[in-house]
Amino acid sequence: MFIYLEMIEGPEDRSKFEQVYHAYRELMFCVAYQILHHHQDAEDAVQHAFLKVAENIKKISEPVCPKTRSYVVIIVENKAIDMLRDRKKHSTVELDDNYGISVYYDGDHALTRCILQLPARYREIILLKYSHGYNLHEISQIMGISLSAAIKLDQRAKKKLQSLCEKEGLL
Amino acid sequence: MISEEMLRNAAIEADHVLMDSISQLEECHEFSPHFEHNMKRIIRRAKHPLLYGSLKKVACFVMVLLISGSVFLTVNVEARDAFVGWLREAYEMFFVYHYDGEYFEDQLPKQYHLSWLPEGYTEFERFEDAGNTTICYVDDSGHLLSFSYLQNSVDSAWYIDVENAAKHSAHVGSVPAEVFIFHASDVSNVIVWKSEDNNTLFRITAFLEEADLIRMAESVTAS
Repeated sequence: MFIYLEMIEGPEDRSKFEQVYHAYRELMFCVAYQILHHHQDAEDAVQHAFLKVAENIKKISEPVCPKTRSYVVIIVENKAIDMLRDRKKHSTVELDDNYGISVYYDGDHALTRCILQLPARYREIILLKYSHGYNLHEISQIMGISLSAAIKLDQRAKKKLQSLCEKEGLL
Repeated sequence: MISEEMLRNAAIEADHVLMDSISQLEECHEFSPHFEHNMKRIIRRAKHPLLYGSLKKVACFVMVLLISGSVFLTVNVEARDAFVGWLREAYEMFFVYHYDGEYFEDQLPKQYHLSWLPEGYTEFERFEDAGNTTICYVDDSGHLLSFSYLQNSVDSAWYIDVENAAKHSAHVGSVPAEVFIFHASDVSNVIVWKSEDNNTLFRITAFLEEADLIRMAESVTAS
């Protein structure tokens, strides 16, 4: 049986990207603006994020649903932080710096609190892996980094999470 | 000890908390014309990417045209004129080539074919859409070969995944070409070039060496 050249984007996929775009572009702008505090930069971050969404459109099953909402928010946060780091590259910016979406949690689950206390980059990879179910290869594509960088990021995220858990008395 | 299950449950809850925390953000931004313009192009591209499959693994590529001599273009106005209409954009892991010139409604598309094919390959499928034509061949072992050309189309874009490719410069006759060699058994190699009159972009993908790609490219003939 031949597997042959095929159009990846059937009509349903064609509308999928546009549905995602129209449903979430303003939300994505707000997330980017919360991090960058600059309209033009925030629009650029949204645009970069949509490029990533387009590249990985097959990873989206439902264009408008809570999972996709979370997915695009993670991507735009990631892109906005990239831009923030570029903007500040002449000063020393560590990965642990607390950029990203501000989150307030008053629940009882210490592990959830620890995940939310992670630096945004670490939180993103934990959420993509454990909440969205992507493997590290897929995450490397979504975040636009190499597989080895994704592996390192995953290791560092878990190490940081372990440290936070120890402080919380979980370990 | 934190189990994977505990981590998964906590991550799901953290994800919900994160989404709740942004639910109060006001969504009333009016995007700039520059943003709208760029997004139209991204949406257009998202509508027309092509995916390539092989017997072992579906591989996604972006097909592209070759804009040769980009350095030359920056210093030579005549050369820039000669390339009017075709653009290449480089992203992190792929190139995008697309036509950005005038669309000629009355221009009849030309048909092309490969006059030389490696032994054993036969045509089995043909696609034509919005100025983008692809002819697929397969040999007895199931190895795929595709020949594509793009002409007079403002709706199509070609992408090529360059993440794991070695890119070489070559020539198809006297025309500069780009060859992308993937050192993997399940990803085909690619050559892209344009016609001498600059009106058509060509691409061949095959599990073949560079010399055979060039030989096939040089055999392209208008029907």
